[in-house]
Amino acid sequence: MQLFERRWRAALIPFCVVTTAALWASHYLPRLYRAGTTFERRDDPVLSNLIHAKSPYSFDKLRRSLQMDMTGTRAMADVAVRLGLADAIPDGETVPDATRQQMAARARSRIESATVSIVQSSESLDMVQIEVVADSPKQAEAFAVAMRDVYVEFARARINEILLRTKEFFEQELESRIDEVSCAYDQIGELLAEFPGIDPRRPSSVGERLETLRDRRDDLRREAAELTDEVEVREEFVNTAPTQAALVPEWLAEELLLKSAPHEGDPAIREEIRRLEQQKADLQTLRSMTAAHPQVVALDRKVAHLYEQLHDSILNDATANGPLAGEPGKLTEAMRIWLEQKSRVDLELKTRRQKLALTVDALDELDDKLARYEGLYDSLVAEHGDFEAQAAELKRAEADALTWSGYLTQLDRILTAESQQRGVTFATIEEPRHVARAISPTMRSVASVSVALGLLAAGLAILLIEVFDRSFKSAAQVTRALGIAVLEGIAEIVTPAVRRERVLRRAFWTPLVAMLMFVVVGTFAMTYLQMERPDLYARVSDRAAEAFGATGMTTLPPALFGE
Amino acid sequence: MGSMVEVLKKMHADQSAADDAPAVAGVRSRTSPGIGPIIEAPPAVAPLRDLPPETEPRHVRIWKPEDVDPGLIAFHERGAAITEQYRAVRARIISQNTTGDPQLLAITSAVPLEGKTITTMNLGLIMAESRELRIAVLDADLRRASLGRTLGYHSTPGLADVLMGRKSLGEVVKETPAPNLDLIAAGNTHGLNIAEILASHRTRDVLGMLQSRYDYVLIDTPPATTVADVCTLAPLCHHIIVVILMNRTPEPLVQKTVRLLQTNNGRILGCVLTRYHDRRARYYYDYYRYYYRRDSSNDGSGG
Repeated sequence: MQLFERRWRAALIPFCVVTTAALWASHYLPRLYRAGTTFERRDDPVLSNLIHAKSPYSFDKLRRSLQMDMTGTRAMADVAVRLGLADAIPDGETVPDATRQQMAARARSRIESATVSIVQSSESLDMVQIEVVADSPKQAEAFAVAMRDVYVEFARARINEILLRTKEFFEQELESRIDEVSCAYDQIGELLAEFPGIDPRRPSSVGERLETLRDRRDDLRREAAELTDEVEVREEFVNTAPTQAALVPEWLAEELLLKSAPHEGDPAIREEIRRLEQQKADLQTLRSMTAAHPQVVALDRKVAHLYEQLHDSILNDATANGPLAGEPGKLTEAMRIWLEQKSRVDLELKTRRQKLALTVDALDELDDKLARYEGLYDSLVAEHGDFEAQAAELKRAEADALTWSGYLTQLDRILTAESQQRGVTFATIEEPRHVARAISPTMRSVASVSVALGLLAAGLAILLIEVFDRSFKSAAQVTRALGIAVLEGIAEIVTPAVRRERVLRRAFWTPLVAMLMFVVVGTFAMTYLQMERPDLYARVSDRAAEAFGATGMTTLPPALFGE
Repeated sequence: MGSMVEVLKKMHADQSAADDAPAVAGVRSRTSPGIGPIIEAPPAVAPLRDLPPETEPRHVRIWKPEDVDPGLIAFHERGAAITEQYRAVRARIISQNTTGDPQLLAITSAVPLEGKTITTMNLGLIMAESRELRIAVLDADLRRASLGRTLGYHSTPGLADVLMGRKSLGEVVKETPAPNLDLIAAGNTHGLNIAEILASHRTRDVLGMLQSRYDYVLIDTPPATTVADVCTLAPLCHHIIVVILMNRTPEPLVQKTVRLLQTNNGRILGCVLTRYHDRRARYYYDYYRYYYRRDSSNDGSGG
């Protein structure tokens, strides 16, 4: 501090001179300018989700390869073409890698650096920032914009490619799902074929049907038993008829009469009876109708009536065509009644036998059907899980196919939108700005270096002066150097002469210091303007050139702005 | 300062009375405005004579501040911190004189313009504050006489005249603002070989006379490195005080001076640093100023 107080005048001049010179010299240092632009790639949320969830191709690759896509050889070659640094590549023409590398190298040689970063990223939004450093603000700005535009074009192409590949993938997936649906349909069809007329998915319906068949079988068995009983009763009557006929001599004739008669009756009636019996059996078996069903009851009545007609026809036939034909008077009334009874019993027996036979046949058929249904039921119960699985698989396959079909529809819509650049949108968030301001050297560094150089010069001056100044500075120095006592140190006596000298000195130094400080501050201000406000500096420089141009003086360094 | 003015007024009254009395033999008083009485030597060369007896009336004049060199801080500002620094020098000088014998103190420096004369004169005024001491300041810098001019005197008559026998010692003694402080100027050295004069036995005699008359004789000498006068005077003096101008006088020259004085049997008492700037001294001065003002207000007199 004492040193500074003693030597500040000696230090001030070199400090101001060197600082001013350094500040002034900084105007001629090469500048580096940075131009930054920010843009966003906003994906359609539907597209983003679709691609992210379903497609093997992802937009993530765009993120991962962002740096390469923007600063790689291909991108920089395109930038070179866009900026006119290289000839345009005709469409469809393949450019050798070496040529492309040369183009990229030509573009890279124009800039200092290019930095690409994702400042914000989400599922469907990427905010990308490009910062280009070049020795000219326009160069940096042009490169930043060109790199952005090239990337947008490239990204659109890539997105389109991804969408097309995704579409192919979706189509393959849809085809695969359709195949699965077909396969499931086939398997279900095979199962359905195994169970005709029933829904295999509902074993309970088969069970109900089985119960109905069993009831029908029981009814048939009962009916058969009843018929058997009736046949037995009538057979017993018929078997005992000769003994009873002895009481009636005409029995024999009757027997002969009956025996001689064809006993077949009207064949049309028999055919009608057979048809109705078959119809009844079908109704009970196939349509599960019981004996109490009105249709069955009606058929029974018709059959009974037809049997009566058949009996009458047989009797009439026997009367008309039997051995005793033409001698009806021989038969007594009782005989006639008995014969009628016997004939009726015979007919009933015959009818019952026929009915029994039909019933037995129907029972056998029903037993077969019942056995088949029981087997079907067992298999149905056993295969119900498989059928359910097949049905679920079919359902799933159908749903999948439907879903993929929906995806494909969405993708088609997106592709249509993308062809009109309405799918994935690229928007510029921030155009290059403040590019006129150099990033290197910075004002801080220039000021620091200039002041440091000034201080160094000042320190050097002080050092030199101190080295060559052999005068005494302190009492201790005197004692040390001379080895004699210091009686006292007398301060400077301020006489008018001393006062006058001080005034003169102040009159000299004050304006000198003011001038030096003005020069330093002025140079600092000009340097600040030149670095931080180049536009304003350019105006000041122009004004100065106009003002001093006539005298041929050059007051300011050439403005670097715009060069 | 107030007490001194009273003394001076008293002396002025005495002078008025003396003006009415007949002049002392051999001495004619003349009063000139602004300068005061001047003791003039007779025109003829007189033998070396001693100083007049103390009983002889002295011419007392009123010293106006403008008559005194502004550098004589001990006259202008007795209460100043710088004056106190001179008092510190006085204390050192007196303290080293344990026997109380009269002493001759040479004050020199390595190069000119280091403040020898001002230091000598201020020191003389300060030492004269002690009323029981008789102090004389002698301008032995015959080549560049300036001691007398500090009080507005011409450099003649003075020491050279005494040494050449043109004046008696009593004739060249001049009064100063302090009653017990006498001034002997350099004198007329025109055409003289100063080194030879100073090396003569008359110089020793004159110094012997002064020593016998005064308690302390402060001798303002030329710079040691420029002329050899101080080498002649150094062995005749009891002590030598070297004045060093801080931040100006080169160290080698001061070292050379010290070696020179020591080689010539000079006993260096110490050095006084002029234009000395001590940052810490500011605090001392603040305390001193406070203390001095209190003391002055108590005494009814101040700087």
